[in-house]
Amino acid sequence: MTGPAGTGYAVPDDPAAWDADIAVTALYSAHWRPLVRLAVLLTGDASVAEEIVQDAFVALYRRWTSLSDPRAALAYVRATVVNGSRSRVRHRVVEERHRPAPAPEPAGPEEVALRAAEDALVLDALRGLPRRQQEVLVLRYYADLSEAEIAAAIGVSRGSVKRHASRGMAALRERLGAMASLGGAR
Amino acid sequence: MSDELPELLRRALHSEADGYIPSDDGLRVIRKRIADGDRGGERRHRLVPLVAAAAAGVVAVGGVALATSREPEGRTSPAPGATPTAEVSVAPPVTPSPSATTSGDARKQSVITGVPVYALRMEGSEGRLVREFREVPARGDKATSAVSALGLPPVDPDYRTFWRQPSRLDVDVRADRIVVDLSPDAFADPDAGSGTLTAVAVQQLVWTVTAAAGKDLPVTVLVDGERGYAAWGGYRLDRPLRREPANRAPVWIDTPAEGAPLPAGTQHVTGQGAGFEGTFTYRVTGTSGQVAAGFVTGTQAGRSAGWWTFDIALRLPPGAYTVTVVPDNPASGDERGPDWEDTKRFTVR
Repeated sequence: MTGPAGTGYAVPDDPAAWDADIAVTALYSAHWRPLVRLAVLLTGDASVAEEIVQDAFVALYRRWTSLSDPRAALAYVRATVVNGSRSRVRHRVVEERHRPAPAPEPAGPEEVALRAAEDALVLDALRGLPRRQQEVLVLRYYADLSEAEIAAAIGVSRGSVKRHASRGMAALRERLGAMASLGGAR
Repeated sequence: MSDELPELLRRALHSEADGYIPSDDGLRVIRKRIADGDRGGERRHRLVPLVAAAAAGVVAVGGVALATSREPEGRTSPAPGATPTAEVSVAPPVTPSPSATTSGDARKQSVITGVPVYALRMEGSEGRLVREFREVPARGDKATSAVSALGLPPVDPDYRTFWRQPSRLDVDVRADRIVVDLSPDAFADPDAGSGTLTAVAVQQLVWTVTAAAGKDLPVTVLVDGERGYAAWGGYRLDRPLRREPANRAPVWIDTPAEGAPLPAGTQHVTGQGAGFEGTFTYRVTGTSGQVAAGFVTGTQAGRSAGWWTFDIALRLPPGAYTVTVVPDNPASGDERGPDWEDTKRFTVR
């Protein structure tokens, strides 16, 4: 039980043939890293991300027999991660909701850090969006999920995913435009 | 910019998350938690409403403890993730973490790669700032992890640090400033003395946290929440600090990192410095003596006059080498000051 993923026993291809142990092992070896990174993005805090993903795997194990479709195991784990990240940041969001807009691009003597500064602005603007919009944009532009997958991960309809995505992008555009940091000021 | 945005967003998200390397220990921990009867996310999920309703039962208390018992909770604003690695033409190499090199494959701790951490290079009694892109243990977000890593030994044996890892650390990147609040054990190293070196050592923190946050903001350093602490008994932390360019060493090599392997074919040695008119001389020695030497002219780095980025292209056969880069210094006599250089050992596969 203690070896790393992939050692020990062969994993059947078809999830329908998995037991809870195999499911955890197989999903871990394929998805641990991307899921932890997803949680890093959703919480902004690397120190809690791993625990959130561990939680999701433990929950998957407990729920395994009641899962209606074993093929949905990854979707279940992902939804648990999104949910866990959401509850973890909830208390923080309250105090940060009305943070003022970030300072203009650093006049840093160090680097031609245009790209880095631009990334920071985009992420700051993203963090300022309503939670659902952030989640949809992260799942779409980082995890590359389809609308249906995003809908399953955050527990809303596909129509809502569409709406959150387009509102989120519009709001991002507006915030970034207001900072005059894109396209213009370089 | 109408459709630059999706691409910008994608890039920003990847640059924020992809440097984060989770521990290899996850499966073992998950299995142990399963064996211990832990209920995982399920349990926490159910507890949320109980806690929210302020139900003071034993179960809810357990839930609260679970949610709050973790380490220096960053009130850090969600990491503004700039990797200042972007402007370096060669991606900063992943420096081997001590645990990875000494204890085999299983990495027990998660790490973040490509994190800029400043150290000191000494010439006589004078210390100046040098930069390393390092793989550092994850502690909260990138800025917090970078500050914490000031207390770990630099990778390059020519560099040093007087910082110790603080037992308590909180880095808060705000819109107009960065607030670093740490415990006094960060200043426990008696070798720092209490003179001018302490000011440069404080600048290590300023440069590191601003680089990791990707924002050149004023930095307020608090010790146990208070302003005015005397760092190492010397430099007084009584006002917001900015980066002081004069504290930089006149040259540092960014890549290769100390001990790093470079690919066969063309190798690049990159770095920054204040060589006169952007000129730096270099020499490369192998096991049987000097194998290359010359000079390179840098390109101006950003808006900073007199500060240059250089890129030395080499074609070396496989082997072990040391490269030394020296900034041109036309001054003579007393004005010349100590001669600064930077060296890195590397291998070509």
